[in-house]
Amino acid sequence: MVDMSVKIGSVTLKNPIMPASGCFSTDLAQVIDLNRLGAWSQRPSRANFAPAIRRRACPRSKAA
Amino acid sequence: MAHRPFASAPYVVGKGAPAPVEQHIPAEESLCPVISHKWVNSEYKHLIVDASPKALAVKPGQFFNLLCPSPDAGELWLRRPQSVYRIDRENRRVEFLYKCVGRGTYGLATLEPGDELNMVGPLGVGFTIDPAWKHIVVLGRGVGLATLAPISQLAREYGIGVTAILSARSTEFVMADDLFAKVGDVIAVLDTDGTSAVERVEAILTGLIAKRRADAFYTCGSNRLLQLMKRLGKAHGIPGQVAMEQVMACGLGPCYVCVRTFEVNGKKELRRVCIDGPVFDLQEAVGW
Repeated sequence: MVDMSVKIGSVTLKNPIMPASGCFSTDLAQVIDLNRLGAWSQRPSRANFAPAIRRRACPRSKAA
Repeated sequence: MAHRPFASAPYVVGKGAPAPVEQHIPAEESLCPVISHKWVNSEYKHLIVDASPKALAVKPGQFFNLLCPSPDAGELWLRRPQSVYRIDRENRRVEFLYKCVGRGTYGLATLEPGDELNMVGPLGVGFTIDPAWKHIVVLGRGVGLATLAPISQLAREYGIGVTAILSARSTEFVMADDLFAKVGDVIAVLDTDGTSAVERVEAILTGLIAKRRADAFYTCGSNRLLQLMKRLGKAHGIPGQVAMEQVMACGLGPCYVCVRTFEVNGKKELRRVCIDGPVFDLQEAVGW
């Protein structure tokens, strides 16, 4: 297996895959093995989050 | 070291060696051959696909995020969440029943037997049943009937009786009645004859409570029916669950698109339907 380890400052990562915060969270552990990443970073959780997008005029009908 | 496919390579159902199953990861992307895809009435289609082992572990109330083909020349952004309608573990298939309302579902409707459906899942939190219950009440309307349908399978596993009150515009749109008829009583209430009016449904529920045939409530598909079950559940101390619907983007949690308001111990809370739900405690739901 190819050695993809990299050294950033004093930290050695097993590979250079480090998802950016915002597009990644521990929630993704339900679909990928986080241990396969070189590292991951996360911004502080939003205590009072609101929907990131709003429902626009949507053709989906609501029953009753 | 054994070859491990790149994390984004989907599991292709029915072709080649199976991908290594990482037991601690519950969901996966899979390419599932379409077995059957038929209209059940003028608005709803019934889709049956061959499923991967992880997809077959889906619990009633959980959903898959489906990559729908575009119905036209334009791009179709984002997957569409679709709750499972029936889980056929014997034939290794999962089924969906969905309403064609927008570009995503009309695109999905173009799939034909032999095509492949790309789906991610199973995702979210499903329905739960207490084995101590003897008889439960399921109340659904419209698209909610498809989400509630697999409760019939869950009830059968536990040997629990079900009264299913299926609300619809007309007899054409009463669905899942065949599945519920196998485990209990089906009561269809319709707009055409006025039986779907909230006060008429309340009379049915009150009768069931009086006969001690309502150990728990399950609902999906209508805000008015949710409020009715919530009120009766609170008054009579009957636990319940509601499956919520919400527009989603990632379906996995990080995007926070599907947030809804809930009320816990008198305090408002924002939760994500995709990962905290889509099934929630009936008394904590504010509106469907």
